[in-house]
Amino acid sequence: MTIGHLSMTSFTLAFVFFIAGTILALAALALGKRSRWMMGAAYAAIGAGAVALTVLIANRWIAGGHPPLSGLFDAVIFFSWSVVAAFAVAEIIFRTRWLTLLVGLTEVMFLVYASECDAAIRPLMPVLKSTWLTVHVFAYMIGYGVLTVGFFSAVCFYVYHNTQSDSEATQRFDRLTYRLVAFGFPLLTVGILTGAVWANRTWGNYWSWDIKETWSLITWIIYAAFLHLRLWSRTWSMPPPRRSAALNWLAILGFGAIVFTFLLLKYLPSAQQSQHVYL
Amino acid sequence: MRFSPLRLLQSDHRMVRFFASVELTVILLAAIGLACIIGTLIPQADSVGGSPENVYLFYVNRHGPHLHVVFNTLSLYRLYSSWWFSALLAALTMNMIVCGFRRLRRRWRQVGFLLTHLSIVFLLAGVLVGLNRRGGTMQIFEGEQSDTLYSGGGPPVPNSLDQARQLANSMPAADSRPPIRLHFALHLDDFELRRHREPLDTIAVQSAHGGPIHSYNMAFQKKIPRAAGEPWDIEILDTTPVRRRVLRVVENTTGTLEPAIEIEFVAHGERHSDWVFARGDRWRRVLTDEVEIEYHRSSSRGQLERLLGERAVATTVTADCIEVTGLQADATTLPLRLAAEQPIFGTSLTLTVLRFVPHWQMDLETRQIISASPERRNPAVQVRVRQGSTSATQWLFSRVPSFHGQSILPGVPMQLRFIEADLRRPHFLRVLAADDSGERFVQRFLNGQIAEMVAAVPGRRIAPTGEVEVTLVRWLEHAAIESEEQEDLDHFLAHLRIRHRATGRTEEIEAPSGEVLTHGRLRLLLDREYPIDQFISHVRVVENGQTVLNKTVQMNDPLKYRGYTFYQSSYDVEADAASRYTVLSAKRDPGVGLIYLGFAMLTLGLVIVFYVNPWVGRRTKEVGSNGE
Repeated sequence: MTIGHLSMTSFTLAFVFFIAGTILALAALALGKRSRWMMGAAYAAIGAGAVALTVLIANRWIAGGHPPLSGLFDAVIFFSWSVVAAFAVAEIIFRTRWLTLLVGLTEVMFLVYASECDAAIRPLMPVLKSTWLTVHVFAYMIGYGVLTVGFFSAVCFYVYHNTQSDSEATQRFDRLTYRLVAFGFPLLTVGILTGAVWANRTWGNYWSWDIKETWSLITWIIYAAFLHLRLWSRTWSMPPPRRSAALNWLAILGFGAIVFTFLLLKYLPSAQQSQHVYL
Repeated sequence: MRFSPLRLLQSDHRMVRFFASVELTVILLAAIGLACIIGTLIPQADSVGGSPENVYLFYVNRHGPHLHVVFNTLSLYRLYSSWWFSALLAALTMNMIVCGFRRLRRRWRQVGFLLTHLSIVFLLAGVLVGLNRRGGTMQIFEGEQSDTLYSGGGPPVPNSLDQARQLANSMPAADSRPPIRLHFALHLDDFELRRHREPLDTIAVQSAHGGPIHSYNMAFQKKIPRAAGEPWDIEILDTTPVRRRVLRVVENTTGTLEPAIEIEFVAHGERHSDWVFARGDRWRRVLTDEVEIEYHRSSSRGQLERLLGERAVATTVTADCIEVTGLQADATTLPLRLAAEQPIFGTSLTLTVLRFVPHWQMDLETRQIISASPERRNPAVQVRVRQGSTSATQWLFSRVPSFHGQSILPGVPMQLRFIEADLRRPHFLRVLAADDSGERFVQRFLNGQIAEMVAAVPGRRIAPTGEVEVTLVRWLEHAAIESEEQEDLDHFLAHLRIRHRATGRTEEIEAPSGEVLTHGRLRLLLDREYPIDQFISHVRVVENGQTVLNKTVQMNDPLKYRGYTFYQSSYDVEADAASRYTVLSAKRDPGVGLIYLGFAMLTLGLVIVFYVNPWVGRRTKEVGSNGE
């Protein structure tokens, strides 16, 4: 089996597994407690999809001789991997079921997007040949993955908060959201900082208010605001669930900023001059 | 009571509490975030570029004249360096400092908190110190050096067209910062655009309906199932190189003495091999529209003295003339002299040039011959040939010689041709070799004037000439032309097997690279490129006339000297591999150290706050519960 064949097969398998996982999770949630095995199957499917993505990334890395981080296809695949990896770790710590569905859906959407991209493995452009680049992309990709699962958790929180305001599930999702943002925030920060170091080594300017740099900073500010607002909310005179409801939307807004920074930036008119718009 | 700032900061005064509060932090973060967003929605002045008028019109077209003035006054076009944005950042720093002092008093062991917030202060300090930074760009031509950095500044955005014109008139004084003279120079030995040795062969597929194009690296992908969504599977069986027959000059030791030189030249990114003989009809070679080359070989230096001393060459080789053939054994040429009756040597005929028009056209109304333009688009001369009392006139066209050229006079088998002047190309290279002294030179003339004369050495570039780079490869004594097969490195042929999924019908085709092929509802394009591996400037640092340092400057690998760092920035993109210059950008930022320190502190602080502390917290909780 050639490298290319393995690549295509693992991509297709990942796609198929994630669709299966999404459907199984949906069915499991609809059927409720009567179908424990179905949720287990959903987990297995998502897990298999994660393995397939890992194989895909490893394959492209070995074949290309450099970390697969240089094009839109590579970025989207790595992002998908990162989300499912963060989900796996979160699941081990907090058992949740809704997350499985959301993760499955997101994976499918991103893989569909990736399938439209040019996937040819090409050698790295001179500007991208740097260890700092690898660290920079790794850091913020993993950060993105963790914060994306944080977004899912915040969505679940609001669903539970609006249906059964004071339940244990609401509290668990609230705690999970905080834990995920708290874990992802330093990664996001390291991503921005290593990006600045790389920019300084390449162009002599650690920060140029380039549009992608600025939007990554905006994303960072949103999550910093979330953390500081949480501190402040301890002084508020309302019950804890309502406090959380007042600030977890920032985790959702933050995810919006992540998607914008990652994929939608190029549609801004001022994006034409950006160094970053390789994607 | 003596006023002590420290005591003030630690008091419980309402204002102090507000300045230290988390509420203020959230408000400031929101304000800064919002400001950043506005800066990305309104294109900033530095990215618009161009003349002040250009900038003004750009903004007025987007926002209208009134809103433009509002935005400009609010500094929205240079938002990130505006006073109010800096004030927000300063306020945030102050908020952190005051908060830090107050928490210090209570829980000084909060290392994580301290590190993270102190780091931002360091970052801001680094930015402040960095306001002193100096830098610019330096363009260096190969073989030359430079010690000056140029930087473009940021002129103010004008509020009206009049203001724009005023600004434009007072530029460049109002615009750029003054160039920086360094105490050392950088000498560019060579700029190298290195491409990968191995080609990147790709196959791109698209449905004939249009839609997304998918490309695949042919080194890795041998099978493409359901190409471009169409029901065809493509299998790449193999790729073969393309061979072509080329002419080559070789040293033929048993042959007759035929001195020649072999040269190589790069034009428009493509490399060509060629040769020039020392005598014979190949003695002058036109390489491109820009460059021609000549080789003079003499047994004695004395014979070359005149050529060696030439400081200028004629810029025309031949002049416009009329060539007469058919009457005698040899052709005769007559210069173009208007209205002068010239005899045709050896005959009793005379020729007179009556008119010359550069762009011949017949006015259909008046039936007059006119010149449609002053450019030589269709040059023509009207001549009269006379023999005794008979004469005839005719038009001769240099671009269409067979028209009207024959038998102008009945019974006289004469052919006339109007030949245009053959002008020298702007770059003229003359290679000179003397047998007795063994000296070999190259003279380079630009527009007829001597530009340089150097020793001719094999392997050395004899002319960096704009877009063309010419290298002398070797000297040949007994040169002969041979034809041989050579691999065309830029193309290949692929053997594909295409199978229809439903019917199983299989076809094998040969697909050449470089052209779009259609196969049913599939469109294929095979392509080969040699991707750029690295941009390399081979640079020497020269101080006080001495070479102090040798370095290659590449992307992600800058040169550091005396506080300045030089980065590979750009090159002559049009000339590609033949780029004669490099552009380095230079920076001396004294604040970078503080910035990096701030980065390290921030990272460490965050790790402590969000990774170490929670883990420690959980461990102490476990211990606590165990102890109960």
